[in-house]
Amino acid sequence: MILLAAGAFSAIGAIAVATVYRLLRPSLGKIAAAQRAHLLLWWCAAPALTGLTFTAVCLAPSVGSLIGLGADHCLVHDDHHAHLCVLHVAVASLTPAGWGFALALLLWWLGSAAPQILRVLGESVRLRRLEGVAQPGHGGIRVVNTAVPVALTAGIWAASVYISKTLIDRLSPTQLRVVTEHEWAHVHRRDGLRKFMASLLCAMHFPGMRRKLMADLALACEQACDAEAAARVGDRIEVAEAIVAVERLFALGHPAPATTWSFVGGNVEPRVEALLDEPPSAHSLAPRWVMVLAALGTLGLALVGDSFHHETEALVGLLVR
Amino acid sequence: MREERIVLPVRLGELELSVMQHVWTEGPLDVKAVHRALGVERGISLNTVQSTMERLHRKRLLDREKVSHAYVYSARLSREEYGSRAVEDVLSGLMAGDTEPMMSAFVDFAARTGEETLARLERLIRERRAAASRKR
Repeated sequence: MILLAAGAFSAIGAIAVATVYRLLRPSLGKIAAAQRAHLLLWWCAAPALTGLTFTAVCLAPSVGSLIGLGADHCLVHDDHHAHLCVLHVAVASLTPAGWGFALALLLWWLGSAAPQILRVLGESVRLRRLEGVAQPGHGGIRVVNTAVPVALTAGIWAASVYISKTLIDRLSPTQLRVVTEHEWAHVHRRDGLRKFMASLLCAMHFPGMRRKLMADLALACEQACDAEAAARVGDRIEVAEAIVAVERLFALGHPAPATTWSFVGGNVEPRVEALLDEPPSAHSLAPRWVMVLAALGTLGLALVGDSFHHETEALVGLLVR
Repeated sequence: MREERIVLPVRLGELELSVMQHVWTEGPLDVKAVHRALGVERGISLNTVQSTMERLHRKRLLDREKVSHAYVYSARLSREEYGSRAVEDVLSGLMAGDTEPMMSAFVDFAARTGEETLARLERLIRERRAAASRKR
């Protein structure tokens, strides 16, 4: 019963945050990339957090009774509907609608989270092969002897920076420094872990929204690392130049397959443009405002907790008997 | 005839990698020669080196040929080929865009930027560079 309520709240939360995100998305670019990445992680977690928060509010009266702050709430009403409480956890049997809803929730979550976990396991195998052939390089990077001009950060818990010998040979010392600083920024910011958590938390979002959020998060992480590299090198234009130079080198040897031309652009264009524009204020209040709104919302819910609890019981009562 | 594609093993152990590095550097060798070079200083027996080289043979990284009474082992892939295969493996994932969240590349490999866009970005960079020089 409690799990069913949490699932229902998560689903409602997913619809609500998807609607709000569509309205807010055009303004997100005005927020500094590092803060945007934090905000997007919270946004990924929003349906799950909504489910947890609303369920906690619903359970508050019975928890109050449990710790002696109030009378046993369930005695107030009869057994004409299901109890959503921690004191009288009864095994309620699901109605066909309840079974359908529970199954849909389970499939929804498994369908989105399981592929992510399988993908990470598959990538771990690839990464171990790469580790086996990489040689230690200057400043802790790992050098890979290949003709492909590649630089990447790989790993979730303990990430490493891999740069190919070809890229080292073909970039100018300043460009190489930009690339290295950018990749180390991913390591310091724990972007692998951030994106892994986001991909799991996103499981409660609708597929289209999930893709949009993950793409926006990836761009925010890249731009945050560009900004860190620019701060270390001391010139935003150098970073923009390095991005275009690497893109050109890679495109020379690896033109996009015909099927991907429709997606021409990737994230090079927004990254370079952001570097050439004035940097957004790092003290943007947007993430703080979201926190304040969430806290106020939770407080408001707590104030109407009792009636909210009853309405939820009536609603979930439709799914159980 | 179709060329046989060697499937790279998931991971090479420390001794396995040392043996491969040694064979890559020195060329075809028998077990005794590898033991003299790697085993003696590590205090490991001839049998350990022998079983390691047999394992590498089973993993299809080493070829072997009987010369007199001993097997002589040689690398099936050069060091560069082995490295390239491992990187190709990672890149194929990057090109397919399915390596998130495990890896992030400096440029997005799954989508190339068009020539017109690159030219426009380079022009913008030149303009900003010129404007910055004028300010100084």
